[in-house]
Amino acid sequence: MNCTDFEPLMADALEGELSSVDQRRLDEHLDRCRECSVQFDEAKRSLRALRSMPEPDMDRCAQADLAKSLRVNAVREIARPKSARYALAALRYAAVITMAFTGGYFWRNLPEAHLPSNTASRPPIVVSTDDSLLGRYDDHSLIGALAAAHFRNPTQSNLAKCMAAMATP
Amino acid sequence: MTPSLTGFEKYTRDVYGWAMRLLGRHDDALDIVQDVFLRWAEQCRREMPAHPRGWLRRVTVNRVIDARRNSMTLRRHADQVARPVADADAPTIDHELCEDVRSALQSLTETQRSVIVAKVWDGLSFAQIANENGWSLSTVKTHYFRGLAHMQKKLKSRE
Repeated sequence: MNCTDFEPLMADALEGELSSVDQRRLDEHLDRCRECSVQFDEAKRSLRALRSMPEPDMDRCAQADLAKSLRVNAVREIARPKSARYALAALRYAAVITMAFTGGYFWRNLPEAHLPSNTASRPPIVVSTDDSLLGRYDDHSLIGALAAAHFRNPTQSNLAKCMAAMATP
Repeated sequence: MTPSLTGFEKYTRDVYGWAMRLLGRHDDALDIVQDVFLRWAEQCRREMPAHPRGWLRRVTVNRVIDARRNSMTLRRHADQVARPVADADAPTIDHELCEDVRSALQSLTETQRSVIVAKVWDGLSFAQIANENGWSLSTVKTHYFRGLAHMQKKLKSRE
């Protein structure tokens, strides 16, 4: 153990809270280490000086006078800033709501050209009947798909199949 | 009753005791008490301290040290009833001792000062001080010992 390891033990020793084993270890160290021994004596003297100061007591009159004085000042201090605090909180909430509304408004009204295009990643529409594949359309318009189905088989309505094919990922 | 005034009712005597030990003058101690509790009221509006007594103790000691260091005129409030200096009943303390102790405490770090006042004048155990401040037990003891050893360099011999 080095000297700094003995500092907690010296603190306990000053308070008389050291076990007999630790007391023996500390005594051996203090016998060997002059610096620690000097510091320990200095700490003891400081503690004696601090403990020699009498414990003051506040008489009831002084306490009552102070309470009266403090009550007036405390009410002034407490009341004044509360409204400012609430106003600040209200401003913060208003700012958040305004930003959210403004952001949503602009997002919904962005020109279509500015919206990200992801048609390149969408699979082609497959139009088919029960028997055959009529065609694959990269044009994802419903009109284009219906027109193709009609031309292939005008007598049958392939609207349901077109819709199902368009819905299938 | 507001939390700040509840704290006043509970801790006035303690704050006065710490201030009086450090200042040695009744009126000055009352000024410090009033100043500390006004800060306490401000703190309660923001957030109640987790350890009120520890908070008050730290603020009291630091307020005395700051007032001394800056040579500030202690704030006096118009509606405070001042006790006359010549009042024979006003408590007094050995001013030279107070001056020595205050000067010695001023030379310490805030942590050392806080631990020593809590241990010696407030009677807290090392474990209680550690819990109040979120420190380890060995840290508290080390600060305590080093602070006391350092104080002696400033303190006159009182033996």
